[in-house]
Amino acid sequence: MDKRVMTGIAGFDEMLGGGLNPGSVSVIKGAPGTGKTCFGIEFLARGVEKFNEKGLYVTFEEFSEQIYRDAASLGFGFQALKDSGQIFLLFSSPEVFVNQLMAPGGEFDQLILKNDIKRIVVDSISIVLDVLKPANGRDFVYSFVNGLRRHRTTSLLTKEDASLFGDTTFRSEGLSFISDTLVQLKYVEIASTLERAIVVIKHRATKHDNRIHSFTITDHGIIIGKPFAGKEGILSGSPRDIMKRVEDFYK
Amino acid sequence: MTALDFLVASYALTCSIYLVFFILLVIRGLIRTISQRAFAAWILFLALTSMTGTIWHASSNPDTVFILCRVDFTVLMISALMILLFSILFHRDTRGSDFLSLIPAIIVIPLIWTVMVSSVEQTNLGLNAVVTGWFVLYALVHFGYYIAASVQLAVVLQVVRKTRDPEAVRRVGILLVSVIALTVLGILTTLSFTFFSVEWLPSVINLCLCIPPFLMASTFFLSRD
Amino acid sequence: MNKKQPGNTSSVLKFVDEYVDSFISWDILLFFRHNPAAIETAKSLSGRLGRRQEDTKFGLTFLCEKGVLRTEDNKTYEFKPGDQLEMQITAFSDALAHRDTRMKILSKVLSKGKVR
Repeated sequence: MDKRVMTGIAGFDEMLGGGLNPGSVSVIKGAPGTGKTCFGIEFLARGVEKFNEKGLYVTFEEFSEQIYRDAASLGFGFQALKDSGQIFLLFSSPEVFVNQLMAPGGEFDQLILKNDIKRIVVDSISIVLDVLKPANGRDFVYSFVNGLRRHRTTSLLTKEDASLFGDTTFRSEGLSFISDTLVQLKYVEIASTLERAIVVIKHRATKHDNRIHSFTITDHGIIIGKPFAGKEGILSGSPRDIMKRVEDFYK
Repeated sequence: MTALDFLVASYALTCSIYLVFFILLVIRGLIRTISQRAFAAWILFLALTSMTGTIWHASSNPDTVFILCRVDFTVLMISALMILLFSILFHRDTRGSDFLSLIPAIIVIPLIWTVMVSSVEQTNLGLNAVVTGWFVLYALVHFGYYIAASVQLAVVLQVVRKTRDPEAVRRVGILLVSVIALTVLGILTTLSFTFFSVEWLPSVINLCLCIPPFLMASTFFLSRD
Repeated sequence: MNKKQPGNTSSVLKFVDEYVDSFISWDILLFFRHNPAAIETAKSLSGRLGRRQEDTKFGLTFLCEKGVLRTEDNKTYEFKPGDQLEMQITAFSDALAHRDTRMKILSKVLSKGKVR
């Protein structure tokens, strides 16, 4: 089996059973503010820092300055990495990017091949689909994903959920079938506070952790926390019995 | 007010508080399940031990004190058994092997009535029991039960914390802290009568024993649910 | 990526001269190298490559003329290169795993100036 592509994000590779599959396309979906962009930024930054792998960040709405600021808040000097040719930033419209992706020997191909880029983040695939509104969504997504896979780069696509608490269903376009890994970010309500949660829904050909974990976004990156152990369904066996005893005692 | 008066008053106050707590548990129907009954029994026996302590330290009759101190030690041992039983029931179903934990108490209680208390003597704090070396065994068993109960409650707290239910964590946490506090205060009371010569110390420690029942009562009657 | 030693670089570059006239034929060669049993139309192959159908069609036509692919009806295409050619295609694929040879191949293809 090919060696895994480790994200370098604390606790995330363990959830993935060792990391992403090389040359794969993964989707990270979640509501606004859940941290999708942060995952993308850290995936690339750690790729350079820990594994000496260059990266490409494709953005359609956020300006470069915003990306640099977001990265700085996570503790990563994205601008310095860009200036040193470790990270490449592509700020473009969906139409232009898709044309570049599909054009043989186009700017996308040349960028990847000349610079030995190993990791790509596309932020976000939702914008591509919303703007282009392809007639046959599934064919388009299939082609798009294969375009990213072409040079054996490992890619992360972000996708927006409408719902704050995580729509764990995927709409059409077949993204859930076509992508190799699906990760859901969401908020969970615990005692009147919102906490961030992450779960790996799918990870092709790999035994992965399918528990919902908490995670925090800190000024030195994302940290995946412990799995949530709510009262119902998550507890099993004697812990559930213990909770029942405690509840019965105070009733 | 002399140190002895203060000691008797502190025992009376402690007894009242534990009795009121017990009565509240009964009135509010918190004696339905076996764990609730074990808990209530523990509170009742703590009230009884404070009661015997009150009468003991108020008495000036050596024969009466000789009996009362043995009653007191016996009631204390039974209360320790009650808290252990409660903590086990709070954690899990009882197992056959749990009954082995009765053996130390079964050994010690007859010793209380035979060789542990040799006589009584007059001190600044009234008539006090003169104990033999068997008292060490008694203390080890008594506090051993409390420590075992604390461990059971700590395990429950560990599980409850994972659910992130703040009310459950608060309740079990307070329970654990109270049991640990009673263990520590019990050890300090024993030491204060045995080794220290500060007359007011046993009374002060005894007054501190009034705090845990308030904390524990809050988990029942001041719920945020 | 394949970490085998690249074959003779000059023979790989000679292969590129003759058989890799554009990035689209590059893609098609690699696709069939890794999926030799595939039978594809221009449309289906374009989806697999992430390329436009019209670009893919040009590449397929070129490689059919070169004897790498075979088509019965100009609709479906199969990989039928012959043993010698298959070895050369494998060497080309292996050479791309090494940065130095990859850069040489890239320069050569770019210098041809052909998109498809």
